[in-house]
Formats: sequence, C-alpha cells, structure tokens
Amino acid sequence: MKRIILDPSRCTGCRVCEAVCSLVNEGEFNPDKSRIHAVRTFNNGILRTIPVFCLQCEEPYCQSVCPVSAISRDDRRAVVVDERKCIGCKLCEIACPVGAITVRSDKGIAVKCDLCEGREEPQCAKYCFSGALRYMPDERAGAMKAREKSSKFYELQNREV
Amino acid sequence: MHSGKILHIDLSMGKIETESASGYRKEYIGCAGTGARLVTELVPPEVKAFDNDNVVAFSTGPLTGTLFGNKANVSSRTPEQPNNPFVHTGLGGQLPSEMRFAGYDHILIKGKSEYPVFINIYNDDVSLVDARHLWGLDVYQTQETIKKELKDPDAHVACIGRAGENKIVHALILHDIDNTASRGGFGAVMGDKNLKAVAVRGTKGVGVANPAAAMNLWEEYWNFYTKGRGRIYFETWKQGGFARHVVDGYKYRRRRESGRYTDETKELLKNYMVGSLGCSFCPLQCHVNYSMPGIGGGGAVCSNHGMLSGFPDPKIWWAVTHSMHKYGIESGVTWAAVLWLMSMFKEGLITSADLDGIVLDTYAAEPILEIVRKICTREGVGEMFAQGLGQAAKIIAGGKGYDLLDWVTKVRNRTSFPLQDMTQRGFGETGKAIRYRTGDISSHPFSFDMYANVEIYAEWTGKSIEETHEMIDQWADEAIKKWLGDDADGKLWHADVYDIRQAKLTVLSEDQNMICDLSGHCELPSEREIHYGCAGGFEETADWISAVEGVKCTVEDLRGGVQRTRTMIDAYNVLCAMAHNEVLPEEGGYPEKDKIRDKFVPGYIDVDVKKLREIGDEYCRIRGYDPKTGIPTVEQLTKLGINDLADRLRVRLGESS
Repeated sequence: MKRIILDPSRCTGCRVCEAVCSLVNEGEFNPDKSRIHAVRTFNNGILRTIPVFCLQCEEPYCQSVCPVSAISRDDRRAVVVDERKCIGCKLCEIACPVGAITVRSDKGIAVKCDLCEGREEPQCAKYCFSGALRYMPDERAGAMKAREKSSKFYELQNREV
Repeated sequence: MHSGKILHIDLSMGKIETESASGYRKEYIGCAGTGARLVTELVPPEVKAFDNDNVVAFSTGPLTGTLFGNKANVSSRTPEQPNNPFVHTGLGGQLPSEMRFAGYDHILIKGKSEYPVFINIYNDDVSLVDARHLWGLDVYQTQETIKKELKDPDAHVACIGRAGENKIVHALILHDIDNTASRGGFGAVMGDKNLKAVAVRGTKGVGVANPAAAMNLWEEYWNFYTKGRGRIYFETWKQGGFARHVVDGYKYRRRRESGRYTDETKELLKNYMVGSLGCSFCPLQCHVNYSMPGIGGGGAVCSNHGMLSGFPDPKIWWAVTHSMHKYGIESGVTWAAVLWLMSMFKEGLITSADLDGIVLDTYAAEPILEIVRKICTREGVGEMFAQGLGQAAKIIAGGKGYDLLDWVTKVRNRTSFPLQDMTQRGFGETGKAIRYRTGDISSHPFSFDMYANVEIYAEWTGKSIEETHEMIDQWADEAIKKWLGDDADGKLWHADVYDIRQAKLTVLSEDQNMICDLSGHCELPSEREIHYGCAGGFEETADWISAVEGVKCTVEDLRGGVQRTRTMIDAYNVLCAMAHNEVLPEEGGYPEKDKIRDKFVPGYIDVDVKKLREIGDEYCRIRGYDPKTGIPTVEQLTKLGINDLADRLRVRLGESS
C-alpha cells in the first residue's frame, strides 16, 4: 500500500501543494479549502513551513468518534468521508490529532484528504518540486530515509579521511 | 471571473468604500495597468507625493493568487524624483494572493490620518486600527505585534519601518521576511499618511472558470521545469541558486577583468543559509533565508546579493543589509550612499568632522551601521539623505567641489537599483538608453545576460566552459529568431551591436516584461521566454488568463494593454514634469557624452549616440511617440482611448510652444 511520505527538511514553503489541491478538488485556488495546509511559522527571522495533511492513521480517531459511521477506509487504505452520511457534527475535527479534517461551513460536512480518489496519485505529492512530499509504498519509506542518512555518514567519513 | 473589487480608503475622512474592478479589465488587464489608470485618474499631475490627494495603490492582476501568479504592484507618485512622477514597483510574497483571496483586486489609499493607523482587512470586514503603539517598531516587530493582536498568525502584513515613518524618500514597504516594494520610496508616502501597515486575510479564494484547462497548463509548466529545457533554469536558480547567479555572475565578469575569483558564495550559502523564501505557489523560492550568529535571521533577494559581490566580509554585509531591512529602507541605494561616503573619506574629501565623528575608513560593521541608523532616523549627518542621494550629493560633495551629482542623477533619477543598473551590460543597456527619453523604466526591457552565469551552467551540466558558451549562443539565437525572424541572430542582444531591429526587440522585451506587471505573474520565470527560446511568455500568459477568467484573452489583448499602460504613464509623467515647471529635453534626453557610465561605475560601456538615436527614432515610430522629444503624441493617446490625458497634453504642449 502506498501513502504520502513527508520529509520536512526538503519543504521550501512554496505552497504549490495547497494550490494544486484546491484546484483539483474544488476547482478554485483557495488554500483555505485545500486538504493540505502549509503551516508557516516565523521565529527570529527564520521561516519554517510544515505541510500538514491526513496521515491516514492506522487507528483513525475521526472514524472512531463518528456517530453516524460516515468515515471508513477504502481499498487504497485512504480514510474517506461518505458525504451522504456526514451530519457535520465536528467530532472528527475535535478528535483528529493533527488538524487534518475540517467541517466546512460552505458544505456543512467534513472534508479531508482522500489521496485524490480517482487519480493515479495524490496531486500534492505529484507536483511537489522539492520532493518533500512523495507517494510511495509503506515499506520503502523507511528504506529511503535510511539511504539518505547513510549518504550523510559517507560524506562525513570522506571528510574525516 | 475577474470580478474583484476596488477598495477605496480615505485616511483623512476615515471612509471605506468599494466598487467593482471589472470596468477596467479589457483595456488595462489588471495589476500595474489598472493601478496606473486608477492613480492617474484620481491624482492630478499638479499633486506632489506628500500631498493629501496622493494615492498609494496596491494592485493585483487576473493571475495573482493562481499557480501562475503571485505578484502585486504598488504605485503612487514618488518622492524620490524632483517632479514626483508616477512610478510602480512589484511586490511579491504572500500578501498579493491574500488580497485576491479577500476579494480585492486593488486597494487605493488617499488622505492622511491624524495619528498612526493600520488597515485591517478580513474578507469584507475592513477597519482602521490605532497604530500609535507600533510607531517606532522595526518591520519584523510590527508584523509580529499585529499578528498577535489580531490573533491570526496567517494574516499577511505589509508595513513600514522607521525610514518610512521619517519620510526618507528611499523608504520601502516590506512584508514577510524580505518581500518589498522597493522602487519609488512608497514607504515614505505611507509614513506621510500616518499609515504603518496593511494587514490582509482572505478566505474566498480565486475562482477558476475552466479548472481542467488550468490543470493542463500547470502540467505543461511543471513538465517544462522538471523534465524539459527549463530544468537547468530551475535547478540552478532555485533556493539560493539566485544568490550564486547574482554574486558569482558579477564575479565572473570581474574575473574576466581582474583574474580574481573565489567560491565564497558557495561557502556563504553552505554556512548561513537556513532555508529559502519566496512568493506564494512559486516553485523557485528564489530568496535566501539567512541566519548568522550574533546578527539574526532574515532574507535576501537578488539586489541585496548584488552588494555582496564586491564586499570583503559576508558577515558585515549581512549585518548591514539586515539592519536596512529592519529600518525599511531600500538597500541598494543606501549601500550606494555608504560606499560613496567611504570612498570620499578615503580620498580625504570628507573627514569624521563631516560625519558626526564617525570614522569611515574600513569595512567595519559598527561605523557603517551607525551611518545607516542616522540616515533612517534623520539624525545629524543622516538628515541630508532624507531627500535622496541626489540632494545629499549636492550638500556633501558639491560644497567641496567634488562632482558626484552627475553620477548620482544619471543612476538615481531613473531607477532605484543603481547596482542592478551596473550589471546590465547586454542589450538591456541599449533598451534603457532609449527609455531614458521618457523616463519610465519601471518596467524595463530584458537583457540576455546568461553569459555571466556560464560557470554555474557548466558546473550543473558537466559541460566545458566553451561548450556552455555555445549552448548559450544557441539559446540567444533561438530566442531572437522567434521574435524577429530567421535572418536575425543572437548578436542583436549585445550592447556593442547597433541594428535598427533592436528597436522592435526593445518593444517586444518591454512588452514581455510588462505583461507580468499587468497579469500578476513574476517576470523571473517568464524570462525563460527569452533565455531559453522556448514556448511561454505571451501565449502562455494569455492562455492562463483565458482558463482562469473564462473569457478569451489573446496576445494582442495583452500587448494592447501594455501599449496603453506604457503610453498613459509616459504621457502622465510628462504632464507631471510640466506641472512642476521642469524643462523637457528638446532632444529626447539622450546622453550627452559618448559614455553613459563614468569612472565611478566599473565596467562602463561606450555608446554611439548617433546610432542609438536612429534606433530610438524607430522605437518612437513603433510606440507612437514624437521622435524629437520622446513624448507620446496626442494622436496616439486618442487612438488608444486615453482621451483625458490627450486633452491635457494638447493644452499643455500648446501652452509651452
């Protein structure tokens, strides 16, 4: 199974993910309606941007607390909202540990990332220029990070020699 | 779809009103075009920059807030030049998109508040907020305080620092870490209006008429940068690459002249770059986020790095540049002030007695920072800089029989970027010389300046320097053939080549630059049109506008908007000059000397004025200007539907003759 992998150190803060997500899912450019949020923080003249999105938890609290069973997992392992069942109670919003599900006032129902259902891959990851967001199989996530870190060790080793 | 509103704010009366912006769309496209039309309609030529009736306009275009645009233009009557002409300048970052998300295409601010205020915009809720407690804060403290008070870390704030409060004519408007409206001294105009800041938060988004078409255009754009020919551009200019292009590009030129070259930019980026900064939805993120121990964090853009190219210690460069940012003053011109004071000090033309006891004989941080502080607070020796470099040169140099004014007026009068000016050694120089006739180089022609970056391209491609030169020759050739036909070649970009076709090339490259100012997308990625000879630019912009707005936009529409805007600004500025009794040049303002640079500027070029005049005459013919004076003709203004200015110009030219 694939999922979106985040490497925060690569994020440049361009917010292309927000714009692409809102264009694909809402037909407009609107970061406030995007399923992914590039959260920007300033501290002593330094900008840090962390994309926040649904991590498709193994035990989704949003699903657990939903009183009408509107939230389920599809065959791509995406946690999805059934718009016909959702009553907009906002319990999911309260329960989500990362703030990745929102009840939108214009729709009256919960909205969250569904890994771009109907498309080959999530568009935020597809168009991430810096590679901070990547869509890949679970088992490759750790291996990729290990490979990157090992190359740092290699550099260090060479420098010491 | 481009149905945003114009927000009118009168600070004197405390009035806030809105109107639809759609009436201006067809003729002026948007952003700088519509902004210029609005300001020239509202502000009579007789008005001065610090008058109550002067207007500061923040303007966005049809593409601002989309994946193909992130830009606003700020325009007003500038205090930087004696006759206070109209000037517009770009403003990037996040605030332009946020303006459109709040539903506003333009924010027009007139009048003066009795006490310092800031404007708070949250969608349809607009209010004036007491900012007396913010007066005296630097630009970072101001933004932080406003966000805290609004309890909204996602609000985007554009503000002024102490330079603007003190009406230093080179004061700028800054937002986020280093996005600035630099040219024009509009920070001083805001300060004069007692306006400390504009805070914007919008949640409405930008509607897209044809999302599928927009997605296809985005796919093409993405493919170009990641898989196509634009990849070299993206990979070498992104996230710190810009700094290397600017600094090492300078150094490459200098190395050719002096044989000196180091890799210190690489070291600077490696040691002190903590991230990148830029504008919304732009993959380049071309600004550098630096942090140095004991100095702090902040950002630097191309023009800031320009100063670094000749500076011996990056830490001092950063300490001073960072300080300029915090005061909210344009760094290029302030660095120029510091450097010519230093050179005069070294030559013994001034002493510490002229500088309030400051000894300015080395590149030490403390005395330079003290000079900057005095300039921005109008203290002691700093007071003479309040009216600009030209005025300061008259006072400090003129009194000692040392003619700096000649250089200062040449460089300063037309642009806020003297350092950038120095780098334009290619075709841009010829184009600018032509534009000296009418004075507006707010939007200047592109130059083909890729040769300066040959070492960076060679490093990335793995080619030799010679092979890389050949590659750039090919780009130059392809770009010129696309625009001028197969019998033209890349040599037309060069400053030492004179060819009548350069007039058309100037017009095309000016238009290419200015469609960015009208549509709201950045000129940096659009430069690939000429730098790489690939598809993009005019056609791509028209297609994006069509997709977003759902109304067919053509290249002719865009170029018509550019022609109309440029002609209008040029005519208006002539009227401003005449209203303030400036004598217009009889011969179109060509340089009198054979050289348009003098000994103070390294790397000057010779200019053949006779040949330049021939190209200039052809340029005027294409633009519909009088070749003798460089002024737009009344007939051309009428043809373009700018009847109010046509009538005024007819009357004023009749009076003067």
